[in-house]
Amino acid sequence: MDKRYLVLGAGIAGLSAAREIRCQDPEAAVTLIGAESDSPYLRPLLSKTDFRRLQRQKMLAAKESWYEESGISLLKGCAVAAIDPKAHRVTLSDGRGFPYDKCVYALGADCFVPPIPGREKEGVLTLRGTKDFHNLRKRCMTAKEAVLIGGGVIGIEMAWELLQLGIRCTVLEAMPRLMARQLDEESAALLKERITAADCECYTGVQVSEITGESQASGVSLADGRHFPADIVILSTGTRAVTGPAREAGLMCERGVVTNAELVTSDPDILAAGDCIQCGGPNPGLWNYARISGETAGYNAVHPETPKTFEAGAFPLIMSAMGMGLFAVGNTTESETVTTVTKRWENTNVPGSFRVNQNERGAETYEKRFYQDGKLCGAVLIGDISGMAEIQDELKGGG
Amino acid sequence: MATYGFVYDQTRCIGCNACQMACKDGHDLEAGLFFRRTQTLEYTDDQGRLTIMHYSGSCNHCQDAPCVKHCPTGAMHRQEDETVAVDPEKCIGCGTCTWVCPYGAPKVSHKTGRSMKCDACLDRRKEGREPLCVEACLTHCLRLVDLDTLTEEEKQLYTNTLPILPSPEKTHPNLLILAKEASRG
Amino acid sequence: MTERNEWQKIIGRCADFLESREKAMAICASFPGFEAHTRRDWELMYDFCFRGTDANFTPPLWASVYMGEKALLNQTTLEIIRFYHQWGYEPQWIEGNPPDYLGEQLRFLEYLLGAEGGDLAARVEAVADFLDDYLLEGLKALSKSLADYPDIYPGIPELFREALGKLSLHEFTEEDLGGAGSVPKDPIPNEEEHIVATGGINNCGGICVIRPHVQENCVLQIESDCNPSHAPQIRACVRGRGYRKTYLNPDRLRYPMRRLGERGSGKFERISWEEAVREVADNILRTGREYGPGSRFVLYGTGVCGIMRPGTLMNRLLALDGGYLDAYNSYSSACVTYISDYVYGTPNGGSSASTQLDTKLMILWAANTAETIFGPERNYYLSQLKQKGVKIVAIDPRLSQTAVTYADDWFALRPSTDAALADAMAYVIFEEGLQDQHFIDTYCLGFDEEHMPEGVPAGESYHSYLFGVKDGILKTPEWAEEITGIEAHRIRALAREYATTKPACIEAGFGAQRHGNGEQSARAMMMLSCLTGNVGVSGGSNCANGSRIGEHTPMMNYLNRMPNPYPGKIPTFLWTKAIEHGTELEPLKDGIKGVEKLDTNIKMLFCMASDILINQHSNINDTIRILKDDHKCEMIVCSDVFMTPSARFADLLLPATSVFEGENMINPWAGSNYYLKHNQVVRPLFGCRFEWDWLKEVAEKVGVYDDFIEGKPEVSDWLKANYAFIREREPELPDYETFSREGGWQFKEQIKAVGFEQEIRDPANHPFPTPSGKIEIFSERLYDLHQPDVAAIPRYMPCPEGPEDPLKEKYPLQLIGWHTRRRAHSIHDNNEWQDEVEKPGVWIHPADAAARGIQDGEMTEVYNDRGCIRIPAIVTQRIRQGVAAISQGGWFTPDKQGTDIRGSINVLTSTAYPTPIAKGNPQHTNLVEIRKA
Repeated sequence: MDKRYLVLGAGIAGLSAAREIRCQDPEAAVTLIGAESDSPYLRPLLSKTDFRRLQRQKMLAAKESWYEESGISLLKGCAVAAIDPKAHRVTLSDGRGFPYDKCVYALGADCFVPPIPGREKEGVLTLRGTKDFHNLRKRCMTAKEAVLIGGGVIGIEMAWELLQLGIRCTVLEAMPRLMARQLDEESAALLKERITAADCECYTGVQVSEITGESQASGVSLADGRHFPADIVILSTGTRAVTGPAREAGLMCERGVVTNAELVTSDPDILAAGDCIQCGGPNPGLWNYARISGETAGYNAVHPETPKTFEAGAFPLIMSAMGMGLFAVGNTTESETVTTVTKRWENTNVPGSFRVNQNERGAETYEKRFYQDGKLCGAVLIGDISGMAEIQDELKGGG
Repeated sequence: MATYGFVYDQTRCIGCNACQMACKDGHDLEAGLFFRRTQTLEYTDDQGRLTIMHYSGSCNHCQDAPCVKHCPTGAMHRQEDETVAVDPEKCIGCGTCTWVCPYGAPKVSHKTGRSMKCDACLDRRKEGREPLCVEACLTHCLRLVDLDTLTEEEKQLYTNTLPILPSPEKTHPNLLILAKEASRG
Repeated sequence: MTERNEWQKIIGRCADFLESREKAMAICASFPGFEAHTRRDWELMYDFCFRGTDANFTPPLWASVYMGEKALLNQTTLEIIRFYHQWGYEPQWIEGNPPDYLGEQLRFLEYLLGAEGGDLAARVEAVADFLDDYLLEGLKALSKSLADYPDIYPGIPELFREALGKLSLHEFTEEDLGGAGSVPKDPIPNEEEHIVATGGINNCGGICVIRPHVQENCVLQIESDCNPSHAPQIRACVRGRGYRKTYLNPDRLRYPMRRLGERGSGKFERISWEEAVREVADNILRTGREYGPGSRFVLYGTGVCGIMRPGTLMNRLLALDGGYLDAYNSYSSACVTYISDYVYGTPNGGSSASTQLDTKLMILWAANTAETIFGPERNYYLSQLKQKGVKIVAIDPRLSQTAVTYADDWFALRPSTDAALADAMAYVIFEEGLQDQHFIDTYCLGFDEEHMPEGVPAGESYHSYLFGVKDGILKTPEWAEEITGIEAHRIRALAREYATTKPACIEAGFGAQRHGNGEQSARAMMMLSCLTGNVGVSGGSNCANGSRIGEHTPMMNYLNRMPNPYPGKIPTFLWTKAIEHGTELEPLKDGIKGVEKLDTNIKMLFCMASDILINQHSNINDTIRILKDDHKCEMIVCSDVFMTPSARFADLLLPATSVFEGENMINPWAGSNYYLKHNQVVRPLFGCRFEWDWLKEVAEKVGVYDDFIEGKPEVSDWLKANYAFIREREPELPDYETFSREGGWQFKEQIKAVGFEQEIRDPANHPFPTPSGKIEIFSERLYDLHQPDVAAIPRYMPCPEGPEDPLKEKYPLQLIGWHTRRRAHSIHDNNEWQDEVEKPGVWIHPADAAARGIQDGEMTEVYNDRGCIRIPAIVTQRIRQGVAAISQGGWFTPDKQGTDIRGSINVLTSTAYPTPIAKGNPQHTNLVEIRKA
């Protein structure tokens, strides 16, 4: 009898798991269940594409016909109601039940909505899936001003897109500096400077007290009394793993669904992958982490006797927005044992050199290298970040 | 297993931009995004001599392509004939390839949100056609060839770099240029 | 009758507004400020906004445009058509607007929302998608554009902004569907993508194969000639490749219009074709009656070079109404063509491109075929010469694209001094006895005293001139160095090499002859060709008009033989003078032919598929002065595809179809070893019509319909009949259906024509058609004019605004205007892809730039007494010191102070000095100064 695999969640982790399962077991029954009404799509594109050109059907991570051709049953718009690990059965909110031999739990993460008064007003948006962007785009048709709460990569990229639509933007970041986990003080300050130079206002170390307005949001107030008018308020304040169904099923959960290094949860027949897991260290919430974990979980579901270890690896921060590139990798905290070397140089177009295309990089590039025990352990580049290749090679190969 | 690459006879290139425009039109590219670019460069070389030359360049489908190496999602991949292409179902527009390529071949399209570059028109070639640029060239100076079919003698005539290009030691481009002695004005 | 819900009302209102002016007026009546303006003013405002009658305002009314491209009928349009078809909706072309017109999108949404039954969930999703993906963005872009229009009447932008506000904030549900009483129709299949055969249409020596891919009237890409059996392949250059971005362009003229306010104001009122036709006819009749036939003039124009050529067709009509003032010369080759008559007796001296392969030395003299494409295979042949190791030399003040690739040597002479260089070369050749004495004795008149016409005093021969018999000056290389700026030893070496290499070719481009002394430059090259015996030899040259090549039967409109009853002709360059001072023009001084005197100034101008009216004629500011006074020239009729600088000055402005929207036939002007057939690719846009179609109607009003159509009412009748005529003379040609379907024919028998081959091989039976039967190096006809500025021999003659003009004190730089690859004259200037090939800029030498404190890329002003251009500097060593260059054809775009900001060189060129013999256009001879802006 063919094995039955159930993948819960049709993000990149779920898709990658389903793909890998099919690859490893050509005969099995594979069912991929997703809550969104779209087929799996390339979520990161939502903050990188000209809003005018953004179309759901053009962002798919696999052709519509691929599912049928691969014998994968894709159920869209279906929410998971309950998982019964003993009965090896998953029930959807519409009542349908699906038995399984192995299940991959990849329900992803939801946007974290901080308890700011006024957050339920119209015009306050979180950004996660195509539905959110549908709402955002519609608002952008008439909006003049936007406030983005949370200055991470996605927030900055979104602000850049909104600026191109002619919408004035203000980014508010609670931490004392932008992207505090990946950038040191000096780098973060430079980043803020260049964002401001790109006509996007940016404030760090601020505490949001209220979203003002009546039924429609009209602006954002800070604890220190400042107020920023806005037609749109975007909350990009991080995500929280979707652990509800896992908890109710009795699986071990902390900040996410806890797995071992082979991505198996506390139930031997349920694996987990993607933004919802807690595997060793913190979950960076990155596309690639989700993709590789999904692929690994899929493989391990088919080969429980000979599983692969999920290699988390180092995922660099990379962003191309606000007329520059930004790259950060590794350990970027100055300390007694970590020294730095900083360089700055002008970005010039050399008359005697040929390029097919040139990225926007601004007038100057800034590079900060971090060394521990004489070895490179981290770096930040702002401007022309083509040096990233050399840095990554050095980090991997040493010397 | 073939290894396709462009063979460019720079001695006959007239800098007319027909290849650039044919590619642009055939792929319906937005302003500011090029798969192939033609430029006439004028500069003083490191020996102080005035140097003027036409150059038409695109992706060089390098043997050690940094775009493939550094692509986090595997979207940038080698096709069956060793040319390099982006899989639009995998690319998330992170821009890594656009920064690590010393030739500036890929660029993230604002239209699609993804990296785009010359893919040596594989779909056309499967139908028995040539790449758009090859068919457009007014002096027939551009070819896409299986470099494995060239003899060592033939390859001796060509170079895979020019002073206006980055060092080939970085990426080992699959590119053969019949170099023109530059005009000195 | 079911009630339309709130949404349908909003959508329907906007759709009605965009559908027609009439419906819009009913809606405007409800605007608060309606009473503030008259009905007529509201109508004018509507047309300014939505029907293209304001030259300065093109709001983004179509998805293809507001999604971010400067294009019509592209991939975006096709996507929308597919969407329509999926839901069983066949789009209308509202007043000729492409189907992604916002008004049509709104109609579709009306239908989609209003239908009853079917899969409601899917339909709601489709409504949301259509709004998200296309329609909301359109409302946003349009309302913003309208709000930014300085003259807009309140109410209009608000209509769309309010609709946008409501539609963007509403989540449609199944409750919102229905109310129209109709059911959704079955999906409509989409047309298959297919390829249509057509070709280039511009003024081109290498007119190319163009193969658009089209689906549902959307042009998706353009391919060209890759037919392996074609030798040579007729590949499109960068211009041909960019055709769809040029012609399917939101700048298109849309409906017939009549000027409002002053000429050149840019504001027009829309009229019907009936009105337009009537006014053209009335004015033709009126001017004929009031002033005589010679008051009507059709400007030179080369926008459409097929055999059905708008300007020529207008001439046909005028000929039937008593005639018109004709013109001779072109703007391309006035001097060389005209003076060839004096030297060879005919300008038809061209040789097939393949003869280039026989040469042993190639001199590209003012020839830049890499950009001008003097024949589709010329660049390929030059590259083969290079491979064979044949030496190639460029004589040009600029190191052109061609020279960068091919030139082993570059002679950067001062503009207009070509004849001095040739004089010195001839001097060396004679001095060292390197001339082909047999050739000059047998075929030529005037080289030396022994071969002069009877009765001419001694000392008038060319040899005597070279050796200073009359003026005491030896025309040595040292003498020429002073004038040309080229070192004497190089001149000497070139002369020797040229004279001793057999055969050697002087490829005479048209650049040198487009100077104030162009006749002399042209004759100089002819003289050298004769002196060295290279005439009539494959691989040699004769330097007559090199584009006139006698291969197969040229593709022309042979059946359009309508003699002009009015005999008067002016040189084509003198039309502005003929408006102001026509009756004062004289035969000798001004080149009037056919009559002794014009009995009227020009009163009615036709500018059809031409940008001569303003952009391409010299001294734009002076032309504007003349044309602004509509008592001088009373009526200007223009037909074109775009609101060009010329179109802005029309009184009646008629929208024409582009090459994609009709049929024609053509061959390149340089050769006839192939023909092309243009087949229709897409349906005509807006209210555009090909000139023939409305000219017939004018003919009817004028009362000459039957003679005008001559039994051939349609364009296709003329094409077929001319093809039959040619086929009688060319047995290789297939039947018309095959010819049409293939998009043309390339002769298997490629004739290799050598100019004047017969005359050289068999002079007794084929004398040159000159009075003496010989090549007239000395022309008695010119001698007998006894005019100080007319030379009987091909000697160097300085000209006004040349390097020896004292005006150089004030304006020290010589400005020339090369022909760039990114335009065909002024065509393609508004193509955004071509801007990536070359942007506006003035070439300036580093020493000249440094002296003026100008850096590369800095904004400068190029100016003289005639006007000013603001343009970035391109500091380069590819140009001779003392010379500047701006590529000709940029569209005249004056700022509020009248300074041109696009690089329209004719702001700086002059009409004061037509060339002495041909009365041609000296458009490269200009003195200017440049300063930092």
